[in-house]
Amino acid sequence: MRRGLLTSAFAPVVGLARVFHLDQMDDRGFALLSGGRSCPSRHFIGGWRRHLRWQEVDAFCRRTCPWDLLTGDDALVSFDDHAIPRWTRKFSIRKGYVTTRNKYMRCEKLFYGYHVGCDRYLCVRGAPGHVELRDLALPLTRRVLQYGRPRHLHALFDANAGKSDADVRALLELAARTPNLTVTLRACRYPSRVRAWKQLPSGLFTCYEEPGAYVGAPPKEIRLAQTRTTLKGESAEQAVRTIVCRELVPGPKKDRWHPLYTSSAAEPEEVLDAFRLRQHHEQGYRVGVYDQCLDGVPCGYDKDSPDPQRPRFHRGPLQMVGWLIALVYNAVADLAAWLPDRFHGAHVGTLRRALFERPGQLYCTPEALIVYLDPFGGQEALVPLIDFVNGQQRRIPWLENRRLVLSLTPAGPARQRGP
Amino acid sequence: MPAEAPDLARWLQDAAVPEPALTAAQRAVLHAAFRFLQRCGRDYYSVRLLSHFLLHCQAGLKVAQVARLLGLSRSAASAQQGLSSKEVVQAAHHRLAGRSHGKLLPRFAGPIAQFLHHHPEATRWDLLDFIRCTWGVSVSRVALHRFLTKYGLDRAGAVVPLPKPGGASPAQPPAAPPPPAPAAGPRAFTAAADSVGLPAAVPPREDGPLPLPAPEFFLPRPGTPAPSCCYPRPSTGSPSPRTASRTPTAPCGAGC
Repeated sequence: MRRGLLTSAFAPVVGLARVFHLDQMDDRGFALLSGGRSCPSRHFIGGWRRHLRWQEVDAFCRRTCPWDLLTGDDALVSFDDHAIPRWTRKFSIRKGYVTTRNKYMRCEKLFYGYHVGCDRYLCVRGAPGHVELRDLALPLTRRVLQYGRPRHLHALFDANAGKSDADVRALLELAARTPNLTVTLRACRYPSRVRAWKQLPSGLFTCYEEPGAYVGAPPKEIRLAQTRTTLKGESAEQAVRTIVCRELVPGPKKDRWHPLYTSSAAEPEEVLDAFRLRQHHEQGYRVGVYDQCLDGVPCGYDKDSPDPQRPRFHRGPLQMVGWLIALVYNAVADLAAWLPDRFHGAHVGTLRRALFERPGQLYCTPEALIVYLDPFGGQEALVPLIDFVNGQQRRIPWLENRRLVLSLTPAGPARQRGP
Repeated sequence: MPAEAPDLARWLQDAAVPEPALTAAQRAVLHAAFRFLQRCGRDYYSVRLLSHFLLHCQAGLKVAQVARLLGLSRSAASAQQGLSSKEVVQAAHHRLAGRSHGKLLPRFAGPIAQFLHHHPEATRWDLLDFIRCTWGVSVSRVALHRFLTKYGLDRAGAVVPLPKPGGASPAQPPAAPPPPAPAAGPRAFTAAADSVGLPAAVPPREDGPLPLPAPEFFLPRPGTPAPSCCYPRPSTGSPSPRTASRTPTAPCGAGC
């Protein structure tokens, strides 16, 4: 278990895209990181991943969720899904909509909760491709409320959470029942609704100017209005507060309309600003895909299913590796906070290029494993971090409990003192 | 002029060195040493240099006698017996540098390990010089000993660099003695034997044959569980219908 877990955890750190890349992996440092003295076999790691049970994975996820980030605090949490396309032809797995490919195809999904204020992942849930955000919006929100215990939770959802008016009503009812919960979700732009929003009197809109797309660009003009939208089968008294954002686009293109359903009583601009922070969550997915190979998580369908037309679904492997990637994302963000200002908010790939993938020499003594990095530009920025890590006196259990020592190459000979 | 040693006889008497028992050579050496002390005084550096000389000049003086003559303890004089002149000068330099200042940080362990690996014969004084030149830190020998013990750098040959990917062994010291046994410590890492040793790049003679590489250069012999003669003769199988010669269809007789 130790090797499988360590290898799966450090693979996104070093940029190991697929498990079969272990065949070519010949790095002594990675071998030590993965809990051995030589790199593990892909068959061993793949077998460990395939046999993860969902109950144990759920327990692992529950115990490693960073709930301390929002306990007793005001939290702004975004819930969204990430679709992982699958190209299997043998197994008939469920299809779902893959946004980046703009098509309906076989896929599996990972649903994450993301603290957009701290830029950290909070929770995860793996699901087949046909499961949508509206199916898991309520359970995920309840889980954050139950385990995180925030003073106030503002939950943000994409339009996928409110495809039907019943889904919108369910979320708003939960917000009404829970005093410390506010819900904001983007409304689906159904033609009839858009037509109604476009017919709002212009006096309802307030103009705001925002910086342009680049330095020197003309400022963007947005117009905000608040209205109430009556959901299907409901009366006008039950109408939902709706913030309508109209982004004016110069030229022949149409204006963009961004309607938001919200249970918040804040000013429209505040609601819009809070909802815009959800983009950090989407950015986290891009970092996951391009820097941590999020799309390389093991598949959830069971390849040993007797009937390929109806394969079983195993949530364990998909959710476990997806959550390990999220934990690495959180850990790298924590690490960046230790570094100088220019590294704050740096992506995983940036830190990997600048700090992680550095040549060096490993010295093994009877008492310690000494990691001696070759010189590189800007290494002085690491000195406080290295002193902190060395001060913690970490030991490596799988290397006869040797002490881990990190070292940098000295910048140059110091001036000799004395006569 | 030191007041406690007015003349040679008194100096020898105070040190319980019987003058009649001395040989002529010993008397001459001690006479010169006495004059050296009168001229240079009894400060640390003079006594240190003189004790090193008396202990290594092979005049036949015992260590205890030298210790009594110079006012040293027996153990201190004995500890100076095996030192080289360089180490004596380094010790003097270390004392000249004054009180220890600075601290040995854990991140110094990497360069120190590299230094010890490249200079396995280095003494503690060499290491102290390296530390002072690299980080401008002057530490005591006791502090250095504790640091080396803490990180397992105190035993010669215990610093084992792990081979880099591709089997490239780390740089070896140019004139280093043969590497120590890999299992120097109870938990020594035995990864140094991973690399495949190629013969040294000796320029071949023009008319002579090229030297053969080391046996490790070649792939291992394929292992077979039993001699090949024990196996059944491999069958080539029947020819495929396309390549098989057609059966002649010549009539065998008049009745066919």
